Amino acid sequence: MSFKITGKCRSFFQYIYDKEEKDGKKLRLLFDEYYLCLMVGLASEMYDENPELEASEITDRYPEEYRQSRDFIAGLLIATERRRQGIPENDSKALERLMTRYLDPESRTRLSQEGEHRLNQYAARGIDILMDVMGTPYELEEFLIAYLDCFQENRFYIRG
Amino acid sequence: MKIRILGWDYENIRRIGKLSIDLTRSDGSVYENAFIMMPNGTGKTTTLRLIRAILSIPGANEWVEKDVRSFRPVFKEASKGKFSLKVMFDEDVYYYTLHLNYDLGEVRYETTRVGRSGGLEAKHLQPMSMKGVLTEEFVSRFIFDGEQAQKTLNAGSKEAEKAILYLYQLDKLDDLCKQIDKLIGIKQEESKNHITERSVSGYRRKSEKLEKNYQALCAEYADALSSLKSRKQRKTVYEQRYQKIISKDEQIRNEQDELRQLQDETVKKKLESVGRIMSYIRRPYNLQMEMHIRLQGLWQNMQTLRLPRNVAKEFFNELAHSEECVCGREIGETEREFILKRADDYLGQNEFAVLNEIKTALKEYTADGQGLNAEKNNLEALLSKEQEISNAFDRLDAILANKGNQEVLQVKEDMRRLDGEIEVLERKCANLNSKDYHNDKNLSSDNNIQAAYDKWQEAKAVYDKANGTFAFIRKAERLKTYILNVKESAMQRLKEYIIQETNHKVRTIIKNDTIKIKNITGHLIFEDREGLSEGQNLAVAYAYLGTLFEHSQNQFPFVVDSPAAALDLNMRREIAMVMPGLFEQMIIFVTSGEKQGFAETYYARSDVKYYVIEGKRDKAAVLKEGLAEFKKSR
Repeated sequence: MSFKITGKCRSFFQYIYDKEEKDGKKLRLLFDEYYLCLMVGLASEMYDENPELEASEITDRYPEEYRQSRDFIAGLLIATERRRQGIPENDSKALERLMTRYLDPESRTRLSQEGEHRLNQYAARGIDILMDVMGTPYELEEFLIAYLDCFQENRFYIRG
Repeated sequence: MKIRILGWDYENIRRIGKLSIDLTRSDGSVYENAFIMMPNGTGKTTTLRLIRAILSIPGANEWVEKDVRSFRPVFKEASKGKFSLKVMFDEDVYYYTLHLNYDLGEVRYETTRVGRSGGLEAKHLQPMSMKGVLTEEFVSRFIFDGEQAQKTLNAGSKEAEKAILYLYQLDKLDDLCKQIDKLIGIKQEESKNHITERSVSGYRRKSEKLEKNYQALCAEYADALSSLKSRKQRKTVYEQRYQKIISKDEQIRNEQDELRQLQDETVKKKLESVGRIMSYIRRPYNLQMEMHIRLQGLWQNMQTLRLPRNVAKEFFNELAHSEECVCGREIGETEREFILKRADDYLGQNEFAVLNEIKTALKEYTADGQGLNAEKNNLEALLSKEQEISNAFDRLDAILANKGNQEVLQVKEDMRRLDGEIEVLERKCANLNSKDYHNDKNLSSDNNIQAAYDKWQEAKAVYDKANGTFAFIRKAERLKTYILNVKESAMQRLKEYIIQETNHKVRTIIKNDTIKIKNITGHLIFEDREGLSEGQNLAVAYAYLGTLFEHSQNQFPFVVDSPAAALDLNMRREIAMVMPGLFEQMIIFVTSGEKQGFAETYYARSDVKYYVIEGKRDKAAVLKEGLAEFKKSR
């Protein structure tokens, strides 16, 4: 399965993304776009049931810049799903089942296919929320400031 | 092709128990003429019906139970019956048998072929060259009854013309036209719309309009690129002009250099800040307090519940393949399946390791939301500073203007204006040239070249298909016209010839009257008279049929029921003299009343076979053979 984005995601970030960019004026990784959407989706605890994902994956592993974050992304997925599914805090069996469902030690991402697909669904929902809340960005620095402001002001429907 | 009937056999058909009719000589040749005398009610009509059913397609295959049972013997109980016909097609002999099951009301065919390809087949077969020719309509014109003859002449009947149509196979041209209509229907169906000249025109106009739209957008893009290029060039000129003005004032120049240096530093810091912010963001716990709380909550939960628990999956997998459980009970197939299924709910060794790593990571990280916030503030400050520097550049221009150099403000204003225009043009070019219009709701065939092109191609495909269909329909209709013209022309020439030949035969048969066919329009139209006597009718009908058959590509036997009953003695004799010359093989069913003047005319001939089939009521009919029996019979 691996990581897939929707066409809307490419379209939204088109002015602040350039894979050839070396100076840091624009995003260089498609995974950056994916991750920014994913965080919004996870924060809102909402995912897209039938996302219009592109046929090809953007990558089948975490880029170097995200290697240190893979455990946290996996942890955030499990924590979010546990809350969303209403698993009680004292139900160790249910939690363990959830973990075995979404983790795969043999996988490059350490996530099972189901786990990767669920992340893709959260990212797909995330871009919809981003497009609702923010206008199309033209400068990376202005986008990042606005993105962080939206998180601080709970504008991404964050459930606490 | 030459077709001859060699004979037939009855078994349990109406008043006939078991009989055989053989129309061949001892040397195998076929009698050119055969008289079968059968009193009324013995089975003349039945025999003709059975012969027609065997020679034509679909024949008896369309019979219902009532039809089959109509052949049931009247003189005895019989559950089954049979009628066999031996036919020669050129050199090949086909032996057909029609099996009738009276109890079930069913019928089936069997065909045996003797010749180049032999063997018995449970089918109703015809030679390849006769396929599609021997239809019921066609066969009824040579397996003939008196009614058919009458129809030829009846005003209002189209029998005379139909006979030409079927015997000379002009009806195949009508079939061809039907096939063409069918193809037209298929083409119309494929196009999903009814195609007319008007609709094709409509599709063409739409396609042309969309093509113009696409070309207009391409031209617009070319213009935009050209404008962009010229504006960038002009901007460069203005920048050079601006630098030249600045360079004339040393103080301003120095301040500008300082500002430029500051600007470069600020941009560099800004980019570094962006890089640091991205590093913070890539750690989800920094992004927002809620994320940090969730991750910490998970860690604490894992801690409380002592997760991951000790490795269990491997234990259960091993246990499943043991003979005994740890509690001492036997592990059978059911227990094994259950254990293996439940084992998936537990962690394996590798999963245990991964979870432990996650747990450790969750335990050991330190969120730095404050650091991210501080960096964000830093970035905002740098953007602010950037703006200040830009304002400072503008102030320098104002100072220069105050010193008397107004041009600098104008140049700066022009550059600013050009920047705006360049930005608009760049965005326009990006919109026009974007290949990804599907995912951008702001793009459509009105402002995107790819979208306009795709839409044009779609409309063009529809037009091409409709036009192709329409062109096909036009050609098909033209072809139909040609075919019908050919049919009309052939029919006309055939009529002329047949009229001429028939009139010649009629002159030979009817000597005491002048009867001339003038035209054939459905039925025969006579010159100078509207109607004929019954006898004259029959004479003309046989002369007409004889002409038709005489010049047909195929030679058919002529099987007729009571041909001379309505004729007077003189007419009978004339018909009897002419008929053998009209047909290569004649099989004539007569009653005893037709001996005088008709059958007796044949007594002197050597090419005639005579049969009598007669019997008392409620008893099976008896077969008698030969001229003597024929003469004797009443």
